[in-house]
Amino acid sequence: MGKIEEANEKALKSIIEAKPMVIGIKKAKDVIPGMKEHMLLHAGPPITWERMCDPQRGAVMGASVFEGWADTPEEAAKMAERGEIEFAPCHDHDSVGPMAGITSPSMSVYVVKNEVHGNMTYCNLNEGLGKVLRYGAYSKEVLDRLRWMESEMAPLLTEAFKRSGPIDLVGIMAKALHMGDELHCKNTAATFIFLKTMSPHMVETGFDGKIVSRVMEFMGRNELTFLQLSMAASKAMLDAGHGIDYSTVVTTMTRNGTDFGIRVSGLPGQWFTAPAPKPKTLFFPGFKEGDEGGDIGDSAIMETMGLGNFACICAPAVVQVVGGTVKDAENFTREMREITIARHKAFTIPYMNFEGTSLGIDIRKVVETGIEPSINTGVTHKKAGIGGVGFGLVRAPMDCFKKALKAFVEKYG
Amino acid sequence: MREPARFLREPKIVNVGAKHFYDDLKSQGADAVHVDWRPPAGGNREMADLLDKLKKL
Repeated sequence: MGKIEEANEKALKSIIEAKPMVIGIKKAKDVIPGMKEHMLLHAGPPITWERMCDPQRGAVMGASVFEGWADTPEEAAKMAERGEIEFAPCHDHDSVGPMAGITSPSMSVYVVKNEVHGNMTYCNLNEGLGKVLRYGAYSKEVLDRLRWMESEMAPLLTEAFKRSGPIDLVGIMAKALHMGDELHCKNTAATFIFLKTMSPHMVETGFDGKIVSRVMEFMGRNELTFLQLSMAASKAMLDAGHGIDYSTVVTTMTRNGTDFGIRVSGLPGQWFTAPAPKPKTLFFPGFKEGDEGGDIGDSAIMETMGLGNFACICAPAVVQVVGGTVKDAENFTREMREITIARHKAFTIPYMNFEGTSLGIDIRKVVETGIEPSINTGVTHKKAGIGGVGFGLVRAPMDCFKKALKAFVEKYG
Repeated sequence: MREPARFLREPKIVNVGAKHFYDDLKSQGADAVHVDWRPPAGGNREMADLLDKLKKL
């Protein structure tokens, strides 16, 4: 067996054997390595304020007001211009964030531990759809919701987790794949399984019934509640396979609305980037072509893990949302098999005789076949302050993989 | 004169590569399938050379 094949086998073994468990909720500043005051983590590869897209700037402005660093979003923008806010990718701090992905020190985050390898990951709590911070909105309504999440939702869940103990995320994700989720744009079943699991513990906390009711209603109404846990779990699994010499497995795909970036197991510490494409979008009522922003979010970790669009035959409803057919869903799923080198054992696809989901995007296969990974995604408005405009499909830019291949040959060739 | 063999009268066509040939055939009612073949690395010589180097590892 060649060095690359041996390394890839080792990386994939770690990814498949990983066991991410959600163990609680803590403030970002208390658990995320390197998090500090006046620092904001963001989705995507490294980026400066000057190059940030409008929606991500909107989320920065909202988070800065939420933190109390500025009284108004405009004041927050001036702080950022003066270099008074430090920015870093979520991914470089063991974290993930959907859409703009802005994570600030005072935000509560899920704490996920990979029980097999010991690595930890973190992700903030999902606010729902439409006019929310992660889509670049920063109005009073958005900030009031964030404050409510910190004053009621996070404290209730914190106490509930003390009663539930660690919760197996792979178990929930595997069941949800059999129930119509693909775990990126569709987390309906996973959300309900999670809520079902947590609800007795939430009631047992002894919190006021109205608080419990508000939190359960909020989580149940938002069918993307589990997305943050899908993402943190996937990062925990993929990170376990990162940093293996000679491995060509892609361990991160992510975007910040300006750049699309990937990381490769055998090339730790390096990002390979290209301009972020615009998603082919199915718009919510009231929005139209031309409103969409650039591809954005750490949620492409789901496709990196072989879920999301890579398993979209598990959720034909998602392809319908973006204008496709069930046959299109099957075609996407099969096409992605051409650029991956393994099958997961726990995640299986009922429609395809319970074959394992595709795993291990190989930069060699992407360049050789010309097939770019396909990603299901939420879509922001191109301007800050407005929010989400629809769902879409996007392809990871080939240039990222070509750059990675060149760097790989320079290092190992 | 003998009739041509049936498979010559009713060809089954496998189209490899450029899809517009397949589209033209289907629009004329031909029995055809399309194979989405592309040259390795899209014909990019630099990338193909890099891939070849990795085969030696």
